[in-house]
Order: sequence, then C-alpha cells, then structure tokens
Amino acid sequence: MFKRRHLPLWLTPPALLATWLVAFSVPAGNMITPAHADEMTPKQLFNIHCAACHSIELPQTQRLGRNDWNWVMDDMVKYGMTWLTPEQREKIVDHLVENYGPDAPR
Amino acid sequence: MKKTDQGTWEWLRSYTRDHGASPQDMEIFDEVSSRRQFFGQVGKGGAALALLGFGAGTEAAMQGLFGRGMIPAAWASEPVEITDEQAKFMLADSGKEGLIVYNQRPMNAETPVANLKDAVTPIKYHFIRNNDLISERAMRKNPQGYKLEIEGEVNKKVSFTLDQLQRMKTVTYRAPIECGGNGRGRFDPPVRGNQWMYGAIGNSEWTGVPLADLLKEAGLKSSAIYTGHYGEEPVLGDRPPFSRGIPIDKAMEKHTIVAFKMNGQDIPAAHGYPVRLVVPGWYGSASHKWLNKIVIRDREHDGRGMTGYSYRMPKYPVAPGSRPPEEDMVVGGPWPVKSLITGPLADSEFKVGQTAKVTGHAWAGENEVKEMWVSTDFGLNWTKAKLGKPHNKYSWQQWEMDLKLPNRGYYEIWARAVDDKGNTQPIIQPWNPRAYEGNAVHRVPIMVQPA
Repeated sequence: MFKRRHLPLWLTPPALLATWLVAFSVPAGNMITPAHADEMTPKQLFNIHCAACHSIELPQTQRLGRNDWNWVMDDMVKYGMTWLTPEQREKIVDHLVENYGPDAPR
Repeated sequence: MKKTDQGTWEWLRSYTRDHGASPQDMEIFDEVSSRRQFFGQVGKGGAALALLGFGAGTEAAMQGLFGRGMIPAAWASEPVEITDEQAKFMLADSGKEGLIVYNQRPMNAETPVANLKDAVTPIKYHFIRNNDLISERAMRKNPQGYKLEIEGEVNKKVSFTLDQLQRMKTVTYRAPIECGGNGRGRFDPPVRGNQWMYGAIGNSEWTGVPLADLLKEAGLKSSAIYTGHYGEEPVLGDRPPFSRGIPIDKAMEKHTIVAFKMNGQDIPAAHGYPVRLVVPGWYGSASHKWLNKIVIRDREHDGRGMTGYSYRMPKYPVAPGSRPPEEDMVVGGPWPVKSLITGPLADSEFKVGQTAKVTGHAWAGENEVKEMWVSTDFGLNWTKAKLGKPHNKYSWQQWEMDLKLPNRGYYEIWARAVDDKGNTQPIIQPWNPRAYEGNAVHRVPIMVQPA
C-alpha cells in the first residue's frame, strides 16, 4: 500500500504530523480533523507543521521580514509541505514575522 | 555507585563528575540542573542524561560526555538540548567539542573561533553542515555493499568498492572545506539560512584517490563538461536528492579527491562515512558526503542545489534586500580570498605596554594568499604580517604578527588578506540574496587598560 520513497514511513510528514497531533493533547476519542488543526494557535501550527521535516531551531535563529518568510514558505511547499491550508500558512507566516522578524532580539 | 541514589540530581552530578567533567562543566551542570529541577525528579541512568541531551544512553557512549555534551545554542541563553537521535550520534561519533549548534535535524553546527587555532583542524573541531539526514551505513559504520558508481558521459560505466578504492594509489592533502554560507550571520539585512558567523570552515587532512584517476578509468567522452554528485543520505521532505556538481576541469584537478580518511582515521559519520568528495577551495556543498554516484553531464548540472537561488550568486552587484530575477543568478564555485583572526580572541584585555601575538589563517579559493595586513585604527593604517606558505595548494596559510599596545583604549584588530591575483577582502560585506561568499574583514575588539 505504501511505497517507500526517500523516507522510512514513520518519518514521512503525515506520520510525524499524526504523532505530534496525538502527542499534543487531542482529547481521547476525538477524531483528528483539519478543523481541529485550524483551531490551533499560530505557534502550535508552526511547531507541528515545520517540525514534521526539520527541527525548528533553524527558523528560530533567523530574522526575516514577511517577504522573505513567504519566500521560505514557497520553498517548503516545493519541498513537500503540500498539506497546509492557505489559512494555516498565513498563520504560520504571521507567527514567524511576529517572533522572528528583522527587529527581533537575537 | 549506589543503586538507591539513582534518579537524584546528586547522583547524576557525581556520575558526570566521575566521568571526567571539568570544574567549568560542573558549573554549567549546576546551572542547568537548577533550572531543570522544577520539571520533577530525573529518570534513571541514561534516561536522566537523555533528558539533558547528553548522548546515546550507554555508559560507553557517555565516556567523556562533558565537553561535548553541553553545547551552546546559537542566539540562545541556555545550552540547547540535543534530542535528535542522529544528532546525538553524530556529535558523539566524532567526539565534537564546543560546537555552536544551529539546528539538529538536519545537523548544522559551527566551530567557535577559539577552537580554530590549529593548522590542521582536528575532527572534534570540524563544523557540520548537512542538508538532509545521514545515511544508515554511516550510522552503522558498515562498509559491506558500498560502491561508488561513475556513469553518464563516459566510455564505460565503472564502480568501485571501498576496498578497491583503498588499494589504489592514494594522496593526502590539507583542504579547506567551507560552507558557501559561512559569514551569513554578518549580512545586513539578514538573509535566510543558517546564520553562520566565522566557523563553518575546517582545514583537515584528507586521504583518498584523485577523482581524475577514477574518471580516466571510466574514460570521459568529449561531451563530458560537468559532474553531478549523489550520496546515500535519506532526503528530508518530498524533494529531489541534494546534488551539486563541478566543471570537468575542476573534477580533473589533482587535489579534487574521493576521500576515505580524515586526519588519518575513517571518516566520521557526520563527515561522510565511508567516502566523500573533497573539492578544495570551493563551496563545501561541492564536497558531497556519503558519496555513492557521480554522473558525468554534457551540460551544467541541474540537481538540487544548482538551480534557482541555491548556491548561486547574482551576475551583477544587487541592492541589499533585493531579489534579482532567477535568470540573473549563476552557479557559485570557488571561495574568494578570506582570512580569520584566531588570536587574540574577541574582548581580550591587555595592559598598556604589552605586546599581543596576533595569529590567524588566510585562504583564497583557487588562488594563493600573498600578503596579510593588520590594522588597529579602523583601516586607516595597515601593517604587514608574517605569512607562511600553504602546506599544499589550497590549504589555508598561517600568519602572525607582534602587536605593540602602547596606549589605553578600545581597539579593533582588523585582518585583510591579498591573493596572488591582487584580490583582497571588503571592509563592509557586499550583499547577495542567499548570503554566499561572506568574506568581509574579520574584526576582533580588544581593550587596553592602563598599566
């Protein structure tokens, strides 16, 4: 059913995302739906979706304006981050600009 | 060790002290543990150490865990917890000490200037720059079944096992391997990517077979103009494998080698076990780690890392913060001339009348450094330093001078290299969209106090 491509199955973004969602306090018995995901704060969206592939120190150590964060997000979509809704993406960019903008302390 | 004591911070403290922690390490331990204790009691044995991010959880792996365990996080006020399994393995496997970790997965970590004094960079101080994960083979140190294939624009496809490579005529060279983005943290406005400052460079000693010898066995067709490199590393995300290449002339240059030893040892996992390319003087990304395939191309290679803005420079100078169209970007290759001050360290204090020994390295991509100049008055006056010859072509060169400090005050030591083509380093960093080739003059502030 699943064909192994570059990553072992447990490392694929959806699998990691599911792990994170389960680990992060979804009440027992609830289905994990996109609707639930959308209720997450921008910070939670950032932590969960970005960490599906890489650890999040990488964005956290950068200081970029909105254009550049959008440029980064464009590339992340090219790299396989295809599951984000436009609303989720916007919230993540807002979070990045707000916390890791050019004027944020290093 | 009394079993009943396990699981207490006191036990963990004794354990770490008994395993070789220095007094400074213990100070850091005390600071971190006092911060962590509100999370509750520690787990048992390895679990406790894993909580602090110290290693793989076995006693053997934890030998000498301090010194490499507490790693300052870039821009962070407290040591980063290394939690990623591959990251932990890589750091332990190569005995890394004091790296500044920017990211764990993929692993990206630079060496503080204080640890870059050596002419030959020890493995423990060599930076790590990964684009993806590291190979299963490197994690297991298993040479079985390894082979390097060469195909594409060649007369016959050839492959080499590790054993075959090791039985060929080998060469050993010292080679600077420097991430194309080293110095990015000094660009203004800031640029996306790892915020490397000075230490994404190492000049270790590499042993292997000249790539030219392997290409001769395959026989290059007249259509062969470029290489494309591939490795065994698993890809992060859903994207093509990382794959850069070099023009065929550089591939045939005798210092471009397929290496299997670093400083006389098997190449550590983080640095490309069992085999990697070493393309001295060029962006580090050309020196593919975990190398298992080279495709000879009849055009400029177009793998991931060759197109768009990745490892590419604008054809003309661009305004800081701007983005030229993609078609105005060209593939980056050799590093421009550059130098580093390894002593004194930033913020050192001296007394009036003292003489400071200023030391450093200088290197220049495809060229040789011919002159080294030092200024302590913001570039108004420059004094020539004593400069050594490279150990072999490409290797970084050592320089030094005695700097008299007759007056009190704040000074900056500036160092500027000039290569044999007359190129020198800019005082202010010119800007490009991905912040490659950062080679602005290194500035080291010092204070001279009244005697």
